[in-house]
Amino acid sequence: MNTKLAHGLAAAAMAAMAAIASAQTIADLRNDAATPGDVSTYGMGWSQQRHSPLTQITAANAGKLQAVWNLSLDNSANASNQPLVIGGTMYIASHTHTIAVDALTGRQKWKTPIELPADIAGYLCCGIHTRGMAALDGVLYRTTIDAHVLAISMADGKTLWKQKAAEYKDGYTLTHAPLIAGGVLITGISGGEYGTRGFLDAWDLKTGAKKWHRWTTAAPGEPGGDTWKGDAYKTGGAPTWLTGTYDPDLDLVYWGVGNGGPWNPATRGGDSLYIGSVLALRPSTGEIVWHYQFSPGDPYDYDGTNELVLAELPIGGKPTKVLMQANRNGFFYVLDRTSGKLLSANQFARKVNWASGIDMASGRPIDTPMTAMVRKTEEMKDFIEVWPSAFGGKNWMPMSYDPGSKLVFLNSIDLGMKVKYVKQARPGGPNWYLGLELGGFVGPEDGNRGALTAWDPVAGKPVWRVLNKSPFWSGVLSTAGGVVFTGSQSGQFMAFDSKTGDKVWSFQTGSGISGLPITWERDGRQYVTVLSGAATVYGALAGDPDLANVPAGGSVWTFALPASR
Amino acid sequence: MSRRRRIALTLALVVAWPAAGAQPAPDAAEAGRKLYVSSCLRCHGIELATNGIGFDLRTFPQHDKERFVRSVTQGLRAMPAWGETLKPEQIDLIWAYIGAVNGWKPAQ
Repeated sequence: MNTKLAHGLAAAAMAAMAAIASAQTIADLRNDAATPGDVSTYGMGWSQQRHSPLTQITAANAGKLQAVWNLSLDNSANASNQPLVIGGTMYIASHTHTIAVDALTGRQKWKTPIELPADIAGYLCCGIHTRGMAALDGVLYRTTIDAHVLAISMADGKTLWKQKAAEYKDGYTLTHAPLIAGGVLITGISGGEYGTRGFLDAWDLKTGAKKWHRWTTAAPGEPGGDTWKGDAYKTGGAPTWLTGTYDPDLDLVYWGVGNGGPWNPATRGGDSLYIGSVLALRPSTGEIVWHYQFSPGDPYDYDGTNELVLAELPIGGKPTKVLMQANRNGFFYVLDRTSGKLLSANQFARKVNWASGIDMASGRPIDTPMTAMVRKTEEMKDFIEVWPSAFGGKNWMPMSYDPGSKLVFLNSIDLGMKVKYVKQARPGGPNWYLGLELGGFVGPEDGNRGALTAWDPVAGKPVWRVLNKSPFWSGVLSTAGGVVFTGSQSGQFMAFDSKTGDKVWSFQTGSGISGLPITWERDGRQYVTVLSGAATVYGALAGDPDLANVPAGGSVWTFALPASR
Repeated sequence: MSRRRRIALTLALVVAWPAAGAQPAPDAAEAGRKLYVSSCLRCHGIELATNGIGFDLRTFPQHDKERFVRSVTQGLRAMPAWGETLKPEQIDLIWAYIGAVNGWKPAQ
């Protein structure tokens, strides 16, 4: 079938779909955070606050939560998908399938397979993930781990269009949810450990035609082109592997950019724009309106991709539109999202030895002597010990923000790493290109490698911490009922009192939890859904003895308070 | 240090792999270690220590090299098929590295 005909048929099919589907519109996406009957966006709102106004489940009654249903995902990958709930149907994506489920009963309605090449998992740096979907007008949008973008009919799971974003054999993969903003579908790319060159794409929602393409490393002659050594920008990483946020009033999309390729900063030279940065983009054109680089040169794989949560905070007594990120580099950043101006950067990781702080005038880290040495030493003889490790002070598992208490709830990590920088030629294929050797990870003296932390983003300090031996590798959900939900890598799904951090409930699921909990309501009853199933890069690399004997195996759990009779 | 000594001891007993170029052949286990670090470590862990994605190679039986080669070449569950990426000689080197870390006595 030729492309034009395929696009024409797809557009016709989608027009028909829109007529029969429930009226799910751009306005619904915009209001998602305030309309708990549906969860129609990744992050439970374009601001990705992952906070619900629902109050039926409270810290006082959460102890009575019961399982309502469980559904097997029939695979052993990370069950890291955030489901969507639209019109009483729950939509879930795994790397092998897209699934529709009756949200109240857990009965499967349809399940559509995705064909994947046998060698694809070798091109995923950090485990198999399919983190989320976008939805509009009866159509689901998702990515596949072999770097394709799909539009799928919500009614029957049929594929409406499929586009190739990049060639996986070149090291490109896709693991995140697309973003609908400014009338287009925006996707990023993974592959920062394979010597790829990062980018963002925008697609026509109806036909899948490409609307724009934005490289995320600066070429010679472009602004920032002089921040790279020679041709290093061509294999310089800068992946865009997590979903951005969107402010419809400013019409700006905020998208984080990841590590440099290789990790070895002396190989690349200079700041290597736009690695370790946030880009503020005009969604209709892909124009970069402003950027801020958290980790110039990024010597330690700190990325800049962690979720960029939008909120209004009182800064200097004035309500201010901000963007917040708990960066892997151990500092919690608050930026004015109209301009990109740095408002604060405070250490949230318990131990940091790569920088002594962030200079507020320049916005740049204040290097410790170790980091100054690393920046100019392409090859070294001995291992150094760096805090935080490449896992970061917090990894990708997203935090929540409660606009009532103005607190952030995040899962932090406290580990150091031993690392030695070496010269390496890009090996190509499914092989890592880091320019260093990992010698292992180092735990803190008290043995607590992680914490669930309530963080005050205005004061820039923790309010409470729940320390844990193995860091939680799950998203965080908070509610107006005063409950914070998250999951452990040993499989417990837990509720905490958001005021005190006291654990008020826990339930043992069948695998570790790497999922992103959501809450929703139907017929007056509040439900909480999370996926269980972990095969994380932390488990593979950290050598954490407390995670031995946790089996893989993905499934979906839904909980609620006992039904009133 | 004791592990390093063990590796060194094993290295001395393993026949060095003849490299394709004119360079002197590196020890098989060290050559295997380099391949392992680039291709296998992210799932099977640093020096084979993992609780995560990959099979725990510390428990792999020394006598079943055939199964090892088959799994690497064809893939198994989350394990991708490496047959088009790694040559049989390279899989042998990785096997030598696994044996060195596990302290296997060389087969007679």
